[in-house]
Amino acid sequence: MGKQDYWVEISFRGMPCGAGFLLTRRHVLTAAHCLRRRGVKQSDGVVVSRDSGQSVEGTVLEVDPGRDVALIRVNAKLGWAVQPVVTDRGEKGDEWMSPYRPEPADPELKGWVLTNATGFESSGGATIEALELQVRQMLGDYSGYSGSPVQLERHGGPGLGAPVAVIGMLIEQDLHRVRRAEATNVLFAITVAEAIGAFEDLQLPAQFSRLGPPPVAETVSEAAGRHFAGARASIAEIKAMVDEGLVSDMELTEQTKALLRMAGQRTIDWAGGHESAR
Amino acid sequence: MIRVEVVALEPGGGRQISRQDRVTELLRERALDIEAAIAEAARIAGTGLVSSHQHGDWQVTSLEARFGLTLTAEAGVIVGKASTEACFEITLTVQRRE
Repeated sequence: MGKQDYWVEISFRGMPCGAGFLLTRRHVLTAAHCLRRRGVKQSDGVVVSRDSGQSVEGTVLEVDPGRDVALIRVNAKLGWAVQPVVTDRGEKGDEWMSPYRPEPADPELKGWVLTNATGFESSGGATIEALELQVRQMLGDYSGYSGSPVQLERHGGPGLGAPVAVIGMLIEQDLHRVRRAEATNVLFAITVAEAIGAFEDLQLPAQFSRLGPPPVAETVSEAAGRHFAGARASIAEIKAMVDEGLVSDMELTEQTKALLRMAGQRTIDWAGGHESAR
Repeated sequence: MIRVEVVALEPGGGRQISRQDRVTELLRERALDIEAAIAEAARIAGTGLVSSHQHGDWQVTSLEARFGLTLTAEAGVIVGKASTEACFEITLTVQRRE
């Protein structure tokens, strides 16, 4: 458990609904079916909590049952610092993990991205852009993980408090074709781009608006510009936290370094991928 | 006071992975649903027995039907017997007529 978690649990009238995560310090993204199951509707009040017990009240702004996403507005200032989030597009072969556990004894899910984002018919009835994820832990049933953010796994990275790259949100499991009550070890996550596309009026920082597919003929310098713009937007968010007294200048410096390192690495990875594709 | 566990039917048949809470209701409040399901299952088994009672020199001399019931609920509201699941196991004894 980091001191700057960005993922949360949402509850309604004292009953847990499921996971979600802070897109910004004012907006939480979650799965619509987590709310529906508790009878939560648009404009209803909910409670947004972090694992340590701190919480803040929120209001359901919009629900898109087809895409199976819902947006919650945080009604007051968060009383805790939020780990900066950089959104990214997951690609086949990426290692992923999800930090949310429905219960303390439940495992933290990890695995590999099986396919690039592709069309997927959700139980909500819409064809959405989703990632197919292989999960290492064979649980047979992944109930309780909906709304969990899916982030790229980092090995030996910058450490606690450093930005995380979120690629999607867990919504569904694949069921065994014969034993229908049992899940395979494949999960589906709606991509961040698809999820936030459901909320046209939502004003988000620059890193979210740049989530569309990169231009086919993009140059290295254009790719660098895209990655560093995302980093600058995240740095601006952290500076706002400094102003609120939630983050120290030293943490700002460390996170700025980490964000710039990550933007540089993503540019190098992008260039390497395009080089090998030629 | 006897309680019985009920399951919620979800769109997608279990693909969505929200929390699955154990929900119980008072058994006596579901008594009519259970009685109706038993009567319907018995009627189906009996109709099957009548239609397959005799084939040439062979006849069905006994029938044993076993089935389970799963009570369903959705947001605390009983869905009704149309969505009640019942799994049949039928054992027939067939003997040659003397």
